Amino acid sequence: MDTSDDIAARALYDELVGNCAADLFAMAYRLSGQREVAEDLVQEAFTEAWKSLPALRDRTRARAWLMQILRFRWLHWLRARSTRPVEKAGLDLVEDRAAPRADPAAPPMSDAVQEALDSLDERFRSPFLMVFLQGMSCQEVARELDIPLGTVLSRLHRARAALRRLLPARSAEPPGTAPLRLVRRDGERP
Amino acid sequence: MADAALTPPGDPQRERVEAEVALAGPWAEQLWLEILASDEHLRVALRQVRPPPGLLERLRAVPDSAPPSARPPMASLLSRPRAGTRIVAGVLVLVLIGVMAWHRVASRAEDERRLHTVALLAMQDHMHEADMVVRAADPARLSLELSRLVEFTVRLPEMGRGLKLLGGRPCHLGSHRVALTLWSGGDRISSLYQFDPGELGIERPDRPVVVRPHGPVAGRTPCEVLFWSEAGASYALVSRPAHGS
Repeated sequence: MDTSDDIAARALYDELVGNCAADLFAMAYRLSGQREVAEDLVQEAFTEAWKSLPALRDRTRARAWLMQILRFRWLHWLRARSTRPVEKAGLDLVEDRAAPRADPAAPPMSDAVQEALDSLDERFRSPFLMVFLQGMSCQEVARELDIPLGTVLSRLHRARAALRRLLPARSAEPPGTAPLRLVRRDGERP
Repeated sequence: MADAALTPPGDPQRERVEAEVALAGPWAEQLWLEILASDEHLRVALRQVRPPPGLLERLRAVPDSAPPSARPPMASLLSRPRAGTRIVAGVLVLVLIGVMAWHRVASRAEDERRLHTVALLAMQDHMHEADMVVRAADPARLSLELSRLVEFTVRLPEMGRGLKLLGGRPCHLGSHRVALTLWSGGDRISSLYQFDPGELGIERPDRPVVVRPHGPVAGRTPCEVLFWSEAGASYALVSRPAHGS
């Protein structure tokens, strides 16, 4: 028979899944570029979270805690599969990654973003995702990665520049939306 | 500027930059807004990831396969000692409230930053764009024509007496398509934007929220932007005097 401890733990765990699983999957996918790998990472992260639930002392940091577990799982995965050092030199090197399996239902921009992310070195990709996807502040990222704030800002700057360069220009009005009539606000036609 | 755009509204670095932008004039304000819009574009695109079907169910099954020795003791998480089955329900309620509270705290700062950015983009559009693609005073007709143009269902809310519908057009806030309708009332022109908050990456504003963006836009006094949701649609309303600022 389940004890009250078991019931409370299960309730907390289920809430974590409901509130964080989608965000964790998004982060895992953006890190790995592969949906199957992303699901494995998320599964491992939540398994570890279930086993480590007593370590979560501050519930306001639950999402950040889960993201940290995910990131550790990601680095472990990188080390396990790579025969080269994780740290690479230079922004322009393309990592040895399997071709990402795109989600056919995803918006085109999502695929373009993933392709752009895949071209980034891990040193630039992680801080960028921690700020732009996870919503961390630059100071938090610096503490988390144990690197100077200036280094975080520099890596963010380069990652943003690379992504903006690689992403397609934001679309103008798509076909089919040409004005029927163009009317000035005062009601007179131009 | 780019570094300051990463900080939340009210941050000292951001306020310094916004003050300098205001002094520099419209060209700097335009650049600032482009940086904000570009960052929002990236943030929203990053979130456009669909979890695989059944993921949540598989994750919820994890504890079922965890061996008994792996089940964590919850004593360190509970604020009161076990005292029998009569308080189990109370404990559960506390846990659930606590979890809901952390979720709100964790997401509120990010949503505030995002609402602020969307408000700035809406203000910029309101200040600079005056054309209408469809001129119609009939809400039903305008909704129908705009729905065809923006490719989502446009629903116009009850705007109250004294506000007259002028027309509308498809519009972009950042890089995201929204439906804009223009309204006049007294000496004010109002722009009403209908958007999909999920696409823009902000929580659905179920309670009305007024955002007063920091820093002037295009040299003019900033407006207030009202966000709210009703009948399954979400809106942002910006208004200013009809003639000049």
